[in-house]
Amino acid sequence: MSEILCPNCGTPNPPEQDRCFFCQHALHPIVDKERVRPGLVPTEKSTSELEPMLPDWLRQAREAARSTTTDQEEKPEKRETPLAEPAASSDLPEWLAGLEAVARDEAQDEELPDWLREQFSPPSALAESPPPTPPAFTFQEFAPEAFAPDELGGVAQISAPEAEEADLMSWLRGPEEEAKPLDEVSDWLSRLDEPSPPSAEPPTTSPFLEEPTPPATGELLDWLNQATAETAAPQPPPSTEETPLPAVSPFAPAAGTSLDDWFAGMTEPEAALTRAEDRGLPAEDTFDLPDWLKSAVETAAPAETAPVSTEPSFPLDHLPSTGPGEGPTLPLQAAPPDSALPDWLSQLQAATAPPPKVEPFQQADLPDWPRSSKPSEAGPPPFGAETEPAGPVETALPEYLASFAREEASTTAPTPPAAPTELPRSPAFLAPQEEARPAASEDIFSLEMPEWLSAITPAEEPKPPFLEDLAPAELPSWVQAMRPVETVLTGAPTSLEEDVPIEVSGPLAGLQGVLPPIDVLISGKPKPQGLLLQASEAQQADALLLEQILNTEAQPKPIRSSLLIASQKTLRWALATLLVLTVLAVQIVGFRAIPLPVGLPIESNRALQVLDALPVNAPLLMIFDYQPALAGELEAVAIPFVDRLLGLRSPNITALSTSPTGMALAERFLTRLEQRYPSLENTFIRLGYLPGGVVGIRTFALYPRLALPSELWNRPALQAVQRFSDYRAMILLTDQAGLARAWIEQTGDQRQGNFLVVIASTQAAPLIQPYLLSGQAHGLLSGLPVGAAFEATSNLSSPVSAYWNAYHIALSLVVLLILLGGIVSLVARVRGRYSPNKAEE
Amino acid sequence: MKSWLVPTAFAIAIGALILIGSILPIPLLRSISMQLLQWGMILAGIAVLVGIGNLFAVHFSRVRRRQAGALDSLTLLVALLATLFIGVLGGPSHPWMQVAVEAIIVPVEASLMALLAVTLLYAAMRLLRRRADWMSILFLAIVVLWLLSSVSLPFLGEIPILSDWVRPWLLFSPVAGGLRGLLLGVALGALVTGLRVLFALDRPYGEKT
Repeated sequence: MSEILCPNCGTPNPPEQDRCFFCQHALHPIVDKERVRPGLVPTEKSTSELEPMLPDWLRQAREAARSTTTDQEEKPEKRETPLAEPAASSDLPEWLAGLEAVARDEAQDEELPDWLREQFSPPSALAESPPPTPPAFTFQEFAPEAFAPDELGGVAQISAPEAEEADLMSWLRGPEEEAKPLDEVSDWLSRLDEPSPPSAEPPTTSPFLEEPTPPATGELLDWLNQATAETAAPQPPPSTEETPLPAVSPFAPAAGTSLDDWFAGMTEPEAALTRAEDRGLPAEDTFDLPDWLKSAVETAAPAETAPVSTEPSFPLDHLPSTGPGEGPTLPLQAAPPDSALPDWLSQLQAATAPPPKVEPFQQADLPDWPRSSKPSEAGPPPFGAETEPAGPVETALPEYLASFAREEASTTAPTPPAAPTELPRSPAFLAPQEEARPAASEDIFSLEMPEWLSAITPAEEPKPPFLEDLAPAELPSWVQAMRPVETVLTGAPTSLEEDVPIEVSGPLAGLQGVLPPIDVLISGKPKPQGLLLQASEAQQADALLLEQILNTEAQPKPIRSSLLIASQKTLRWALATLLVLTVLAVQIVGFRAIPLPVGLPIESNRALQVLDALPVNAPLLMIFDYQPALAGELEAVAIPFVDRLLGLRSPNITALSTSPTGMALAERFLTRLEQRYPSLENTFIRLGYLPGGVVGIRTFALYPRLALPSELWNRPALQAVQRFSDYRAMILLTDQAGLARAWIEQTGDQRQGNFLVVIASTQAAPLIQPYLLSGQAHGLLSGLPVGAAFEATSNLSSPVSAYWNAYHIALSLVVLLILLGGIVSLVARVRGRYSPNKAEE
Repeated sequence: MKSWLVPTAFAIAIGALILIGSILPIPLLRSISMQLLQWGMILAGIAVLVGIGNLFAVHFSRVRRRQAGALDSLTLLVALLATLFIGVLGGPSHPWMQVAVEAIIVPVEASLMALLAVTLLYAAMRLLRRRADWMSILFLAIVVLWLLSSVSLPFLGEIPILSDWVRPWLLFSPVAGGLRGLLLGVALGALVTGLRVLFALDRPYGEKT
């Protein structure tokens, strides 16, 4: 097909267009239906489940509106109010005023299809118009997609008289026609697609029908419209003209989204039984009826209405839903004019036209949906029940239809309605408790109620069992956006109990049940919680201790180190002064109270043996390896010994030193002896400084002449010395144990049994003692007592006698000070344990 | 090739040669050993000169830059040059050198030793205040006992028991024994050190081990 039919109005459009030329409806399906975009036309969905969500005031308003419509039916003069200026508009709240305007505009511009306009033409015009060619009112298939809008839309062009006989469906025609194959129905439907032959005279008298024949809208309302036309066709023209079409329009259930109720009313037990009996069906033929229907048949009174034939359900997605839980598909009947109409329509028909011929009806022809449908006790009255007050048609009509109807009524003859009281009430808005509501609260909301509000049915309305299996209705986009929270919160109970609080503030003020009555949010301030720690006594003690430590750290401490340093310096100065003064006093006074030692110590007696063993004029090596600081101590010991040696053996002495200052000290040493031994100038050879430390000592031990090459080796005193072993004795003057060890060890193999006498300071003597005891050294002279002993045994003038008294007096003082100081320190230490501050001092 | 290989090889070779020459009476090894020892002595003497030259350079730089202690450095340089001049020209027996030794070197160093005596006395007196354990007490007791055994009291002379019994016992028993052990330890340490150098386990020749 080169043209695209509008899914909304059925108007063929060029394929390049995206929207319908007439209704501006999107020609192409929206892929992303879930996304809500600005400007999108909300799809009409079942919103009746939102009825419980409405606030009380709105529900009351709606109830009042329904009551108002009932009264308006009773007072047809009220419908003469111009549509353009409804009386209720002035009393509407501001926020509903927009809805009213939008609803009115939509009713006038968009939602009112052309075919509906045709249907709203005066009955007189319809009666005068020749009956069109009866279309084959069949359905090709029951699939939702099979019900193309254009197919059903074409039904609207079928004239009512011809439709009486032609468009009866199989389930309406009786058992014999029911046996016809379905192909005929398809053929009939296929012929609907064909353009109907233009009639010479348009079968409409409505000003709307003066326009070109509208395309099929595709809505299911067309079918209903056609059914209404069929119903109205047999009516006599006079009566039809007098009856205002809007008041008796069968579109009420369709437009008023109470179609299920309407159908429920049709399947009322009593109505079904009545129809069955009217069609001559035996009571046993009700075996196909459900239980509820059977029981209803048994209890219900016979009705005067014609039997109802039903068709299998087909989708009604494009129709507004009629109650909560109703699925997108609802059973819709294609009843003959005299039997398939609702009770209110039948009553209207009864008032305006003779009852049509009724085809026999069989319960087996009922589709599944009426069988499974369960009548509700609180539901609408049975179809055709005369005892029930007929509700006004406009109650179920959407606003655009209602307004249109009023406008239509105003333009047509003000014929009083013949059967307004016979019209059934809109079951979608009726509740058992609402029926008893007085009409005093009627107000302007009766006509200006939005469509979505009109479509809402009370939650108490029983849900047909066949609808339980249906998928939940899809909410329109704008309703989804306004969906209350409780539908989102899982687990939140959705109750309409009266204890549900009413919002008193905020944008939801006045609404009840919008927010879930659960304690999601805790109002008010939280209870103050104590911040006191539950600390035990031990923890508190620790905290107190920590606090004390921190406070102690913060407190400045007096610096006592300066006092301690001053005290130490004073003590040092005192000690030094005491010692110096003691020595000076002894020297100055010339104290000689300390006797000289008589004999040499044990370790020094061997040196005397060496002196005795040395030959006269024997070459002798004398090493001056001591520091100038200890020159006084060593000279005090060595001078008496060398003096005795020089006096007894007159050796040829070769002097050297491994210290740079050694030869200077050697000259100082000889200076003391040259006065007594002038020959020393020739026999005392100064080889000088021996570099290299241990290496030099070893070299000298191996090659004396190569180690210290000098012309001195040519002197007569040294001519006998070619090797180290030529020295008959080696006298080592040292204050360092290391040097004594080096000389002893490096020259041990080269001495070849010659004597080694070590004259050491007191501090180095103990380290040399092992060599003496091991025989590597033959004599050890150390300490002032040795010099004093040699002095005592000789007449040499040595400094020993000058040092001796002062030395021992000072040494005695030192011992005394150490003892005294040790005791004082020990006592102070003991006292310090009990007094930490003094311990620091 | 690693940088430490050549010096280590030289060290091992020379050490082994000296060791073998010291053990085996081989004339060639002895002559080589002698030559190496002489080189060693020369190098040690030059090292002393290098040290003196470094000392002179450091203090001369300090005097030239007039840094802190420049006057002391200047004094050192003057004394160094004067001593060197006198020593090179007149030798140790020169009268000025003897004056330097007698008037400067020996009294100064003797004074320092005297200060050491005062410091040791002070330390001994406060030893128990700093450390009042039995080791300190024992140490202090030994010191006092040794001094008492060495001292001669006025009019009394040496303390009989201490000088005759205690001091010789201390000198030849505990002191000699301890020092022998110390000397043995030093000898073993020197031996091990020599072996480690010969086996290149220690390379104190320019690169860390």
